[in-house]
Amino acid sequence: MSVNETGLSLGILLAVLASICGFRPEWQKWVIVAMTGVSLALSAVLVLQGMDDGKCPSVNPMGMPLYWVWSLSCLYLLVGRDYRMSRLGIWSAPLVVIGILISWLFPPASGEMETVSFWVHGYYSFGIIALGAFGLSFVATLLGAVQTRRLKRHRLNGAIGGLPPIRSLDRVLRQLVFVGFCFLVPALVSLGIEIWVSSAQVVEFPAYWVANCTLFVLVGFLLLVAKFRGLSSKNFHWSLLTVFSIWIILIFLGK
Amino acid sequence: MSIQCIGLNFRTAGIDVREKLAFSSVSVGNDALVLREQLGCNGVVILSTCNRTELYFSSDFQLESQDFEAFLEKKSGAKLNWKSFLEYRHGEDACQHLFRVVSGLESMVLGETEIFGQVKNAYSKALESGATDGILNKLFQTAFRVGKKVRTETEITHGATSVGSVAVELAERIFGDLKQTRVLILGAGEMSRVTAQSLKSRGASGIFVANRSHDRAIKLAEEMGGKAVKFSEWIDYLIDIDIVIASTASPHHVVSRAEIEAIRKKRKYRSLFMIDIALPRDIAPDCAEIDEVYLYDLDTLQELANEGRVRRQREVEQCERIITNMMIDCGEVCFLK
Repeated sequence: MSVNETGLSLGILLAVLASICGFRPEWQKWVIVAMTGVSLALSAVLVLQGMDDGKCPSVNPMGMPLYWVWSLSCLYLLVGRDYRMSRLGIWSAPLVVIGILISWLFPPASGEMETVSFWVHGYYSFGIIALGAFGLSFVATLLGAVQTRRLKRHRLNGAIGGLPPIRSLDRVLRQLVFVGFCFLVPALVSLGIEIWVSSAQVVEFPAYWVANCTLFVLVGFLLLVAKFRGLSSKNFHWSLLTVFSIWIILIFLGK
Repeated sequence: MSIQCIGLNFRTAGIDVREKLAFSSVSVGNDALVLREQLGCNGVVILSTCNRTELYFSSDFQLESQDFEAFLEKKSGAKLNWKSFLEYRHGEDACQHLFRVVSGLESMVLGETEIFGQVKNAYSKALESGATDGILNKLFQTAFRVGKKVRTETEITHGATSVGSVAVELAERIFGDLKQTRVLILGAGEMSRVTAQSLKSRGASGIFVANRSHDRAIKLAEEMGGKAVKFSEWIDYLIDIDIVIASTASPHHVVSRAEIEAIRKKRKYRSLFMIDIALPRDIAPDCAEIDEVYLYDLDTLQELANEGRVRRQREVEQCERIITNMMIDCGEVCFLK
């Protein structure tokens, strides 16, 4: 087993452990520890991949899922320090496992990597971190929607226990969406410069560039509405889920 | 040498008897020392809470009931038929009883955790005053291990069991930390006072009280460390409020959906937890249809409290299994007759 594979195995093992910690309340304090381990293992793998390829892993087509789950696990460390919010890790860990498995099962063929410009590089790097924040906010949105529904329907007990409080989820969710939005700004600025620089050659832009621009506009609009008009937790959750769905549809339509 | 326990609790004696035998938490260590000297035993620990007073002894001889009764009469200053209130336990039975007490299985609210601290406090006071011996030290150390094990390995402490604690649990599920939450009490009744007290004990700041009789509102506000507001003005305060507790004696709804809808925008659609413990209800049920409103009435709260009690009851068997295993582990202490 190579060093890369060892790192990925460790990442999967720790992410699975983080999920298992959700089964008993007294284990939940270990979620943050397991996710810190995931983050460190993935950092090591990404550094090694980057050194092998001589390029940032963000521009490696099959390294992207790994870079994405790495950014997700790092952002989780920022919000999961609070005990109540640490439970977010229980539900984000499965996404991390999927991301790692995808990049492990479909590694890039050697020589497949094309040379990209500095601006495309910037677009990928910032864009994927933004998507990490949106990925985590997607998990928080689902948890918030479930928790709101349960409390509205007077269901305290049940199979899904130990969800974070609605207000904490809401605060973290808005912070994550804002962070994602902030990272989308330099990503799209880089994209704009790239388009401007290569305007002579470019005939058609990839669909995911269009999808990301749409995501930027919709998320920006949502943040403005939430800030100045105010939005109930339920409306914020559903609006965000709609925005993410539109983004995914645009990505798939482009394919 | 044997371990013995004598005491009374909420099951065997009413509050009028229990209060006569209550020991001050300050002097409980010295009282244990005095009792040890008086009875000539090796060690004494006195556990005195609002629901029980129990004396744990280790001695080389069997203590007789009349030995205690003289002491109890002197302590309480009352000549009662103590035999009818007291429970005597020896050896294994006494050890098992202590393990059950420390685990919350003998508490009025099954699984409550406060008793653990109270037993710990009683033991440390007796230890400080030199009233314990090696056997009692070992017994109590084991009891604390049992208490911890029961709490961590079972769900005996999970789930709220009273209206007040359900309200607190719900508030924590909505707001997380209650330190920044503001509470509005509509109607200065006993139930709202108890519920607000539970929320305050968990850090709720800013308590506002509105009542048709403003004097009663002022009285309750003073008691809760809050502010009394005129009943006609409570809606203005609702803009900054997170939790509403309604328990007026009004025959019709005091809070309507239209009133909440009117201030939603000003509240920026923040979550509002509404507890309606009035009969007839004070808050119109259709308020629950507003997205950010979480409305719970008395029936729902009581139902949730019952669920909590049933849930805890289901855990008793598992707790008893832990206690039995620990009894075997500490056999050298427990099985001394």
